[in-house]
Amino acid sequence: MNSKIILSNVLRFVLILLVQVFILKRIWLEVDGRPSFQVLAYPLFLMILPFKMPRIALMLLGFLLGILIDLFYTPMGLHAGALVFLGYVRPWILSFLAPRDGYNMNHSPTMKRMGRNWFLKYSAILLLLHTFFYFSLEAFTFAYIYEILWQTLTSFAISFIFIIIFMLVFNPED
Amino acid sequence: MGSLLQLFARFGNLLTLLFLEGICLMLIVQSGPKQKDVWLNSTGLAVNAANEKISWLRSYVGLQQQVADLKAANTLRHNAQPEARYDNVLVKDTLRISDTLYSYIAATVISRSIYGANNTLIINRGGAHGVEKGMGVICDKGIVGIVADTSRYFSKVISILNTKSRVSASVISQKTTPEKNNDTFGVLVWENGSSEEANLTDIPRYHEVQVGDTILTSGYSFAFPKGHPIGIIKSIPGSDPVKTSMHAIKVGLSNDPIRVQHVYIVKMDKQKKEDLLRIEKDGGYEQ
Repeated sequence: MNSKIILSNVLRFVLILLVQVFILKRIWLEVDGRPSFQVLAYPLFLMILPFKMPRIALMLLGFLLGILIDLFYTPMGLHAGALVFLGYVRPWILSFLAPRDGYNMNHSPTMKRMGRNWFLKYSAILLLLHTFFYFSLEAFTFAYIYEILWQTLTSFAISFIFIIIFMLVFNPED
Repeated sequence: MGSLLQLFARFGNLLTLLFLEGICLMLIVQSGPKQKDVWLNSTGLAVNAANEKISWLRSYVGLQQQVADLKAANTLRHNAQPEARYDNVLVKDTLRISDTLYSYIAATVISRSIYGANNTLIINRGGAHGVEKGMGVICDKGIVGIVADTSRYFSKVISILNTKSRVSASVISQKTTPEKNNDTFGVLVWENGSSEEANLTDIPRYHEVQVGDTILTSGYSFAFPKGHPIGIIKSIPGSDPVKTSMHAIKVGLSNDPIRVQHVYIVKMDKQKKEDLLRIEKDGGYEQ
Protein backbone atom coordinates (compact mmCIF):
# COMPACT_ATOMS: atom_id res chain seq x y z
CA MET A 1 0.00 0.00 0.00
CA ASN A 2 2.65 2.41 1.10
CA SER A 3 5.06 1.51 -1.68
CA LYS A 4 2.22 1.95 -4.15
CA ILE A 5 1.74 5.54 -3.01
CA ILE A 6 5.46 6.23 -3.27
CA LEU A 7 5.65 4.72 -6.74
CA SER A 8 2.65 6.64 -8.07
CA ASN A 9 4.04 9.88 -6.66
CA VAL A 10 7.44 9.29 -8.26
CA LEU A 11 5.75 8.63 -11.60
CA ARG A 12 3.63 11.74 -11.18
CA PHE A 13 6.76 13.77 -10.39
CA VAL A 14 8.43 12.70 -13.64
CA LEU A 15 5.28 13.06 -15.74
CA ILE A 16 4.44 16.52 -14.44
CA LEU A 17 8.03 17.67 -14.88
CA LEU A 18 8.12 16.50 -18.51
CA VAL A 19 4.71 17.91 -19.36
CA GLN A 20 5.58 21.26 -17.81
CA VAL A 21 8.94 21.84 -19.48
CA PHE A 22 8.22 20.34 -22.87
CA ILE A 23 4.57 21.18 -23.48
CA LEU A 24 3.12 23.76 -21.11
CA LYS A 25 6.20 25.98 -21.27
CA ARG A 26 5.48 26.53 -24.94
CA ILE A 27 1.92 27.75 -24.47
CA TRP A 28 1.49 31.50 -24.27
CA LEU A 29 -0.55 34.24 -25.82
CA GLU A 30 0.58 37.65 -26.88
CA VAL A 31 -1.27 40.74 -25.74
CA ASP A 32 0.20 44.10 -26.75
CA GLY A 33 3.21 42.31 -28.10
CA ARG A 34 4.05 40.71 -24.78
CA PRO A 35 3.31 37.23 -23.54
CA SER A 36 0.58 37.73 -20.98
CA PHE A 37 0.54 34.52 -19.01
CA GLN A 38 2.40 31.35 -18.22
CA VAL A 39 0.91 27.92 -17.66
CA LEU A 40 2.08 26.71 -14.25
CA ALA A 41 0.41 23.35 -13.70
CA TYR A 42 3.18 21.63 -11.75
CA PRO A 43 1.98 22.77 -8.27
CA LEU A 44 -0.49 19.89 -8.66
CA PHE A 45 2.30 17.55 -7.61
CA LEU A 46 2.64 19.23 -4.20
CA MET A 47 -1.12 19.59 -3.82
CA ILE A 48 -1.89 15.88 -3.94
CA LEU A 49 0.96 14.51 -1.85
CA PRO A 50 -0.41 12.44 1.08
CA PHE A 51 -1.86 14.21 4.12
CA LYS A 52 0.76 12.85 6.48
CA MET A 53 3.65 14.37 4.52
CA PRO A 54 5.55 16.60 6.98
CA ARG A 55 6.10 20.21 6.11
CA ILE A 56 9.86 19.83 5.71
CA ALA A 57 9.39 17.01 3.21
CA LEU A 58 6.90 19.14 1.27
CA MET A 59 9.38 22.00 1.04
CA LEU A 60 12.30 19.77 0.06
CA LEU A 61 10.28 17.99 -2.63
CA GLY A 62 9.03 21.36 -3.88
CA PHE A 63 12.57 22.63 -4.03
CA LEU A 64 13.71 19.57 -5.99
CA LEU A 65 10.87 19.77 -8.53
CA GLY A 66 11.27 23.53 -8.80
CA ILE A 67 15.01 23.39 -9.47
CA LEU A 68 14.50 20.75 -12.15
CA ILE A 69 11.87 22.93 -13.83
CA ASP A 70 14.07 25.99 -13.43
CA LEU A 71 16.78 24.36 -15.53
CA PHE A 72 14.52 24.97 -18.50
CA TYR A 73 13.62 28.56 -17.67
CA THR A 74 15.63 31.70 -17.10
CA PRO A 75 16.33 33.08 -14.57
CA MET A 76 16.98 30.14 -12.23
CA GLY A 77 15.24 29.77 -8.89
CA LEU A 78 11.80 31.26 -9.56
CA HIS A 79 9.83 28.04 -9.68
CA ALA A 80 11.79 26.51 -6.82
CA GLY A 81 11.18 29.56 -4.65
CA ALA A 82 7.46 29.53 -5.32
CA LEU A 83 7.16 25.78 -4.72
CA VAL A 84 9.04 25.94 -1.40
CA PHE A 85 6.63 28.65 -0.31
CA LEU A 86 3.71 26.48 -1.43
CA GLY A 87 5.03 23.53 0.58
CA TYR A 88 5.26 25.78 3.61
CA VAL A 89 1.68 27.09 3.39
CA ARG A 90 -0.03 23.81 2.38
CA PRO A 91 -0.58 22.53 5.96
CA TRP A 92 -2.27 25.83 6.87
CA ILE A 93 -4.63 25.64 3.92
CA LEU A 94 -5.39 22.01 4.76
CA SER A 95 -6.25 22.83 8.35
CA PHE A 96 -8.29 25.82 7.14
CA LEU A 97 -10.36 23.55 4.88
CA ALA A 98 -10.51 20.58 7.28
CA PRO A 99 -13.89 18.82 7.43
CA ARG A 100 -15.57 18.47 10.82
CA ASP A 101 -14.26 14.99 11.52
CA GLY A 102 -10.74 15.67 10.24
CA TYR A 103 -8.75 13.96 7.52
CA ASN A 104 -7.90 10.31 7.17
CA MET A 105 -4.13 10.56 7.48
CA ASN A 106 -3.53 7.59 5.18
CA HIS A 107 -5.21 9.31 2.25
CA SER A 108 -4.19 12.08 -0.12
CA PRO A 109 -6.10 15.30 -0.84
CA THR A 110 -7.33 14.19 -4.27
CA MET A 111 -10.61 14.76 -6.04
CA LYS A 112 -11.62 11.16 -5.65
CA ARG A 113 -11.00 11.10 -1.89
CA MET A 114 -12.28 14.52 -0.92
CA GLY A 115 -14.95 15.29 -3.51
CA ARG A 116 -15.06 17.73 -6.37
CA ASN A 117 -16.12 20.85 -4.53
CA TRP A 118 -13.57 20.48 -1.79
CA PHE A 119 -10.78 19.86 -4.29
CA LEU A 120 -11.72 22.83 -6.48
CA LYS A 121 -11.59 25.13 -3.45
CA TYR A 122 -8.35 23.62 -2.17
CA SER A 123 -6.46 23.68 -5.47
CA ALA A 124 -7.72 27.16 -6.36
CA ILE A 125 -6.40 28.64 -3.11
CA LEU A 126 -3.02 26.95 -3.43
CA LEU A 127 -2.63 27.78 -7.11
CA LEU A 128 -3.54 31.41 -6.53
CA LEU A 129 -0.95 31.66 -3.76
CA HIS A 130 1.60 29.97 -5.97
CA THR A 131 1.09 32.17 -9.03
CA PHE A 132 1.02 35.35 -6.95
CA PHE A 133 4.22 34.42 -5.16
CA TYR A 134 5.82 33.40 -8.45
CA PHE A 135 5.11 36.67 -10.26
CA SER A 136 6.06 38.75 -7.23
CA LEU A 137 9.36 36.92 -7.10
CA GLU A 138 9.82 37.45 -10.80
CA ALA A 139 9.20 41.18 -10.62
CA PHE A 140 11.34 41.32 -7.46
CA THR A 141 9.46 44.41 -6.26
CA PHE A 142 5.87 45.38 -5.65
CA ALA A 143 6.33 48.49 -7.76
CA TYR A 144 4.71 46.59 -10.63
CA ILE A 145 1.76 45.45 -8.55
CA TYR A 146 -0.78 45.88 -11.36
CA GLU A 147 1.26 43.80 -13.76
CA ILE A 148 1.81 41.20 -11.07
CA LEU A 149 -1.91 40.98 -10.34
CA TRP A 150 -2.83 40.83 -14.01
CA GLN A 151 -0.34 38.08 -14.75
CA THR A 152 -1.37 36.24 -11.60
CA LEU A 153 -5.02 36.24 -12.61
CA THR A 154 -4.53 35.23 -16.25
CA SER A 155 -1.95 32.55 -15.42
CA PHE A 156 -4.08 31.29 -12.58
CA ALA A 157 -7.12 30.86 -14.82
CA ILE A 158 -5.25 28.98 -17.53
CA SER A 159 -3.21 26.83 -15.14
CA PHE A 160 -6.31 25.95 -13.15
CA ILE A 161 -7.98 24.58 -16.28
CA PHE A 162 -4.96 22.37 -16.93
CA ILE A 163 -4.89 21.11 -13.34
CA ILE A 164 -8.58 20.21 -13.45
CA ILE A 165 -8.16 18.48 -16.80
CA PHE A 166 -5.28 16.50 -15.35
CA MET A 167 -7.34 15.48 -12.34
CA LEU A 168 -10.35 14.51 -14.46
CA VAL A 169 -8.28 12.47 -16.87
CA PHE A 170 -6.17 10.54 -14.38
CA ASN A 171 -8.41 10.84 -11.31
CA PRO A 172 -5.81 9.37 -8.94
CA GLU A 173 -6.93 8.00 -5.61
CA ASP A 174 -3.75 8.67 -3.61
CA MET B 1 23.80 21.05 21.29
CA GLY B 2 20.65 20.05 23.09
CA SER B 3 19.30 23.57 22.94
CA LEU B 4 20.19 23.72 19.25
CA LEU B 5 18.08 20.62 18.61
CA GLN B 6 15.29 22.14 20.64
CA LEU B 7 15.51 25.26 18.57
CA PHE B 8 15.28 23.22 15.39
CA ALA B 9 12.33 21.22 16.70
CA ARG B 10 10.52 24.47 17.34
CA PHE B 11 11.47 26.53 14.33
CA GLY B 12 12.74 23.82 11.98
CA ASN B 13 10.07 24.42 9.37
CA LEU B 14 10.60 28.14 9.32
CA LEU B 15 14.38 27.73 9.19
CA THR B 16 14.08 25.29 6.30
CA LEU B 17 11.79 27.72 4.49
CA LEU B 18 14.20 30.61 4.96
CA PHE B 19 17.18 28.48 3.97
CA LEU B 20 15.61 27.15 0.76
CA GLU B 21 14.17 30.53 -0.21
CA GLY B 22 17.60 32.02 0.39
CA ILE B 23 19.10 29.59 -2.09
CA CYS B 24 16.39 30.41 -4.62
CA LEU B 25 16.86 34.17 -4.24
CA MET B 26 20.60 33.76 -4.69
CA LEU B 27 19.98 31.80 -7.87
CA ILE B 28 17.56 34.39 -9.20
CA VAL B 29 19.84 37.30 -8.51
CA GLN B 30 22.79 35.50 -9.97
CA SER B 31 21.24 34.27 -13.17
CA GLY B 32 18.79 37.13 -13.64
CA PRO B 33 20.25 40.60 -13.94
CA LYS B 34 23.89 39.65 -14.22
CA GLN B 35 23.18 36.98 -16.79
CA LYS B 36 25.95 34.86 -15.41
CA ASP B 37 27.15 31.86 -17.28
CA VAL B 38 25.17 29.65 -14.94
CA TRP B 39 22.78 28.82 -17.72
CA LEU B 40 25.36 27.78 -20.25
CA ASN B 41 28.05 26.33 -18.07
CA SER B 42 26.47 24.45 -15.23
CA THR B 43 23.22 23.29 -16.73
CA GLY B 44 24.13 23.88 -20.30
CA LEU B 45 24.90 20.88 -22.37
CA ALA B 46 22.44 18.34 -21.06
CA VAL B 47 19.49 20.70 -21.04
CA ASN B 48 20.41 22.22 -24.37
CA ALA B 49 20.79 18.81 -25.89
CA ALA B 50 17.34 17.90 -24.61
CA ASN B 51 15.92 21.14 -25.92
CA GLU B 52 17.50 20.57 -29.28
CA LYS B 53 16.06 17.08 -29.47
CA ILE B 54 12.62 18.42 -28.68
CA SER B 55 12.84 21.23 -31.17
CA TRP B 56 13.94 18.66 -33.73
CA LEU B 57 11.02 16.41 -32.87
CA ARG B 58 8.67 19.29 -33.31
CA SER B 59 9.49 19.90 -36.93
CA TYR B 60 8.93 17.53 -39.77
CA VAL B 61 11.99 15.67 -40.92
CA GLY B 62 11.49 16.55 -44.57
CA LEU B 63 10.90 20.16 -43.73
CA GLN B 64 14.12 20.18 -41.76
CA GLN B 65 16.11 19.17 -44.81
CA GLN B 66 14.41 21.79 -46.91
CA VAL B 67 15.23 24.46 -44.38
CA ALA B 68 18.85 23.35 -44.25
CA ASP B 69 19.09 23.69 -48.02
CA LEU B 70 17.47 27.09 -47.95
CA LYS B 71 19.80 28.21 -45.22
CA ALA B 72 22.85 27.10 -47.14
CA ALA B 73 21.63 29.03 -50.16
CA ASN B 74 20.90 32.05 -48.01
CA THR B 75 24.34 31.96 -46.43
CA LEU B 76 25.87 32.08 -49.87
CA ARG B 77 23.62 34.96 -50.81
CA HIS B 78 24.58 36.85 -47.67
CA ASN B 79 28.24 36.22 -48.36
CA ALA B 80 27.85 37.71 -51.81
CA GLN B 81 26.15 40.91 -50.61
CA PRO B 82 28.14 44.07 -51.27
CA GLU B 83 28.15 44.95 -47.55
CA ALA B 84 29.87 41.68 -46.83
CA ARG B 85 32.82 42.54 -49.04
CA TYR B 86 35.79 44.67 -48.30
CA ASP B 87 36.25 46.79 -51.35
CA ASN B 88 39.85 47.19 -52.49
CA VAL B 89 39.69 49.85 -55.13
CA LEU B 90 43.16 50.65 -56.27
CA VAL B 91 43.15 53.92 -58.16
CA LYS B 92 46.58 53.30 -59.60
CA ASP B 93 45.80 50.52 -61.98
CA THR B 94 42.00 50.46 -61.65
CA LEU B 95 42.25 46.92 -60.43
CA ARG B 96 39.21 46.21 -58.32
CA ILE B 97 39.42 43.37 -55.86
CA SER B 98 36.79 42.55 -53.33
CA ASP B 99 37.68 40.41 -50.33
CA THR B 100 35.45 38.79 -47.82
CA LEU B 101 34.74 41.19 -44.97
CA TYR B 102 31.85 39.39 -43.34
CA SER B 103 30.85 35.78 -43.56
CA TYR B 104 27.74 34.21 -42.12
CA ILE B 105 27.10 31.10 -40.08
CA ALA B 106 23.59 29.68 -40.28
CA ALA B 107 22.06 28.63 -36.95
CA THR B 108 18.76 27.64 -35.41
CA VAL B 109 17.26 29.00 -32.22
CA ILE B 110 16.69 26.11 -29.83
CA SER B 111 15.56 27.86 -26.67
CA ARG B 112 14.56 31.36 -25.71
CA SER B 113 13.31 33.44 -22.86
CA ILE B 114 10.72 35.83 -24.14
CA TYR B 115 9.07 36.84 -20.99
CA GLY B 116 11.08 39.39 -19.12
CA ALA B 117 13.07 42.53 -19.54
CA ASN B 118 16.30 40.72 -20.27
CA ASN B 119 15.58 38.28 -23.03
CA THR B 120 18.12 35.80 -24.29
CA LEU B 121 18.22 33.11 -26.94
CA ILE B 122 20.22 29.91 -27.20
CA ILE B 123 21.37 28.92 -30.68
CA ASN B 124 22.81 25.64 -31.83
CA ARG B 125 26.19 26.89 -33.02
CA GLY B 126 29.15 27.47 -30.75
CA GLY B 127 32.90 27.77 -30.55
CA ALA B 128 33.38 24.62 -32.59
CA HIS B 129 31.68 26.35 -35.53
CA GLY B 130 33.62 29.58 -35.16
CA VAL B 131 31.14 31.58 -33.14
CA GLU B 132 32.72 34.09 -30.76
CA LYS B 133 31.52 36.49 -28.11
CA GLY B 134 30.41 39.83 -29.53
CA MET B 135 29.30 38.64 -32.94
CA GLY B 136 26.02 39.94 -34.27
CA VAL B 137 23.06 37.71 -35.04
CA ILE B 138 20.68 38.64 -37.84
CA CYS B 139 17.77 37.10 -39.65
CA ASP B 140 16.60 37.83 -43.16
CA LYS B 141 14.26 40.63 -42.18
CA GLY B 142 16.15 42.29 -39.36
CA ILE B 143 18.59 41.92 -36.51
CA VAL B 144 18.19 39.48 -33.63
CA GLY B 145 20.92 40.15 -31.07
CA ILE B 146 24.54 39.83 -30.09
CA VAL B 147 26.36 36.70 -28.92
CA ALA B 148 27.04 37.01 -25.19
CA ASP B 149 28.66 33.70 -24.49
CA THR B 150 29.63 30.54 -26.29
CA SER B 151 30.21 26.97 -25.28
CA ARG B 152 31.52 24.33 -27.60
CA TYR B 153 28.28 23.63 -29.43
CA PHE B 154 25.87 26.33 -28.26
CA SER B 155 25.83 30.09 -27.82
CA LYS B 156 23.80 32.46 -25.74
CA VAL B 157 22.55 35.54 -27.58
CA ILE B 158 21.44 38.75 -25.88
CA SER B 159 18.30 39.58 -27.83
CA ILE B 160 17.70 43.12 -29.04
CA LEU B 161 14.65 42.77 -26.79
CA ASN B 162 16.95 43.15 -23.81
CA THR B 163 17.31 46.30 -21.76
CA LYS B 164 21.09 45.92 -21.97
CA SER B 165 21.22 45.69 -25.74
CA ARG B 166 22.76 48.64 -27.61
CA VAL B 167 22.95 48.65 -31.40
CA SER B 168 24.32 51.42 -33.55
CA ALA B 169 21.70 52.32 -36.16
CA SER B 170 21.52 54.85 -38.97
CA VAL B 171 18.44 56.72 -40.14
CA ILE B 172 17.98 56.90 -43.89
CA SER B 173 15.94 60.05 -44.30
CA GLN B 174 13.35 60.49 -47.01
CA LYS B 175 14.47 64.09 -47.28
CA THR B 176 17.98 63.31 -48.36
CA THR B 177 18.83 64.89 -51.68
CA PRO B 178 22.13 64.99 -53.56
CA GLU B 179 22.64 68.55 -52.23
CA LYS B 180 21.65 67.94 -48.65
CA ASN B 181 22.46 64.76 -46.80
CA ASN B 182 19.91 64.35 -44.06
CA ASP B 183 20.96 60.88 -42.94
CA THR B 184 22.13 60.42 -39.36
CA PHE B 185 22.77 57.73 -36.82
CA GLY B 186 21.88 56.90 -33.23
CA VAL B 187 21.65 54.06 -30.77
CA LEU B 188 18.87 51.48 -30.78
CA VAL B 189 17.78 50.44 -27.28
CA TRP B 190 14.83 48.53 -25.92
CA GLU B 191 12.70 49.10 -22.85
CA ASN B 192 10.72 46.36 -21.26
CA GLY B 193 7.51 46.56 -23.23
CA SER B 194 6.31 45.65 -26.66
CA SER B 195 8.28 43.13 -28.67
CA GLU B 196 7.48 45.02 -31.85
CA GLU B 197 9.03 48.32 -30.86
CA ALA B 198 12.42 49.64 -29.88
CA ASN B 199 13.64 53.14 -29.12
CA LEU B 200 16.17 55.09 -31.11
CA THR B 201 18.14 57.50 -28.96
CA ASP B 202 20.93 60.01 -29.42
CA ILE B 203 19.45 61.68 -32.51
CA PRO B 204 19.84 65.44 -31.94
CA ARG B 205 16.60 67.42 -32.07
CA TYR B 206 17.85 69.82 -34.71
CA HIS B 207 17.99 66.87 -37.03
CA GLU B 208 14.79 66.37 -39.00
CA VAL B 209 13.41 62.88 -38.84
CA GLN B 210 9.96 61.81 -39.89
CA VAL B 211 7.66 58.86 -39.48
CA GLY B 212 8.41 56.27 -42.14
CA ASP B 213 12.17 56.85 -42.31
CA THR B 214 14.12 53.62 -42.69
CA ILE B 215 16.45 52.41 -39.93
CA LEU B 216 19.43 50.35 -41.03
CA THR B 217 22.51 49.10 -39.21
CA SER B 218 25.23 51.74 -39.34
CA GLY B 219 28.22 49.46 -39.76
CA TYR B 220 30.07 51.34 -37.01
CA SER B 221 30.61 48.18 -35.00
CA PHE B 222 32.07 44.78 -35.73
CA ALA B 223 28.81 43.08 -34.98
CA PHE B 224 26.67 43.99 -37.97
CA PRO B 225 27.44 44.80 -41.60
CA LYS B 226 26.37 48.18 -42.86
CA GLY B 227 22.87 48.56 -44.24
CA HIS B 228 21.06 45.56 -42.81
CA PRO B 229 17.40 46.46 -42.18
CA ILE B 230 16.25 47.07 -38.59
CA GLY B 231 12.88 48.73 -39.01
CA ILE B 232 11.12 52.00 -39.76
CA ILE B 233 10.24 54.97 -37.59
CA LYS B 234 6.80 54.35 -36.18
CA SER B 235 6.23 57.50 -34.16
CA ILE B 236 8.17 60.42 -32.70
CA PRO B 237 6.53 61.15 -29.35
CA GLY B 238 8.73 64.20 -28.57
CA SER B 239 12.01 64.77 -26.85
CA ASP B 240 13.95 62.33 -24.75
CA PRO B 241 12.95 62.67 -21.06
CA VAL B 242 16.56 62.27 -19.91
CA LYS B 243 18.55 63.90 -22.67
CA THR B 244 16.18 66.69 -23.60
CA SER B 245 18.19 67.82 -26.60
CA MET B 246 17.57 64.49 -28.28
CA HIS B 247 14.53 63.06 -30.06
CA ALA B 248 12.59 60.20 -28.53
CA ILE B 249 11.88 57.92 -31.47
CA LYS B 250 9.87 54.71 -31.57
CA VAL B 251 11.05 52.22 -34.16
CA GLY B 252 8.80 49.46 -35.46
CA LEU B 253 11.05 46.44 -35.87
CA SER B 254 10.93 44.83 -39.27
CA ASN B 255 11.36 41.32 -37.89
CA ASP B 256 9.80 39.41 -35.04
CA PRO B 257 12.64 38.63 -32.61
CA ILE B 258 10.33 36.53 -30.45
CA ARG B 259 9.45 34.02 -33.11
CA VAL B 260 12.54 33.97 -35.26
CA GLN B 261 13.80 30.43 -35.84
CA HIS B 262 16.53 30.59 -38.45
CA VAL B 263 19.30 33.09 -37.88
CA TYR B 264 22.72 33.96 -39.23
CA ILE B 265 25.73 34.82 -37.11
CA VAL B 266 27.82 37.60 -38.57
CA LYS B 267 31.51 36.82 -38.53
CA MET B 268 33.91 39.60 -39.45
CA ASP B 269 37.07 38.59 -41.17
CA LYS B 270 39.62 38.12 -38.40
CA GLN B 271 42.54 39.88 -40.00
CA LYS B 272 40.52 42.93 -41.02
CA LYS B 273 38.99 43.12 -37.56
CA GLU B 274 42.43 43.08 -35.96
CA ASP B 275 43.63 45.75 -38.37
CA LEU B 276 40.64 47.90 -37.57
CA LEU B 277 41.08 47.45 -33.83
CA ARG B 278 44.75 48.37 -34.04
CA ILE B 279 44.11 51.49 -36.01
CA GLU B 280 41.36 52.57 -33.65
CA LYS B 281 43.55 52.00 -30.62
CA ASP B 282 46.75 53.59 -31.89
CA GLY B 283 45.14 56.26 -33.99
CA GLY B 284 46.99 54.94 -37.00
CA TYR B 285 50.30 56.57 -36.13
CA GLU B 286 52.08 53.33 -35.57
CA GLN B 287 55.15 52.93 -37.71
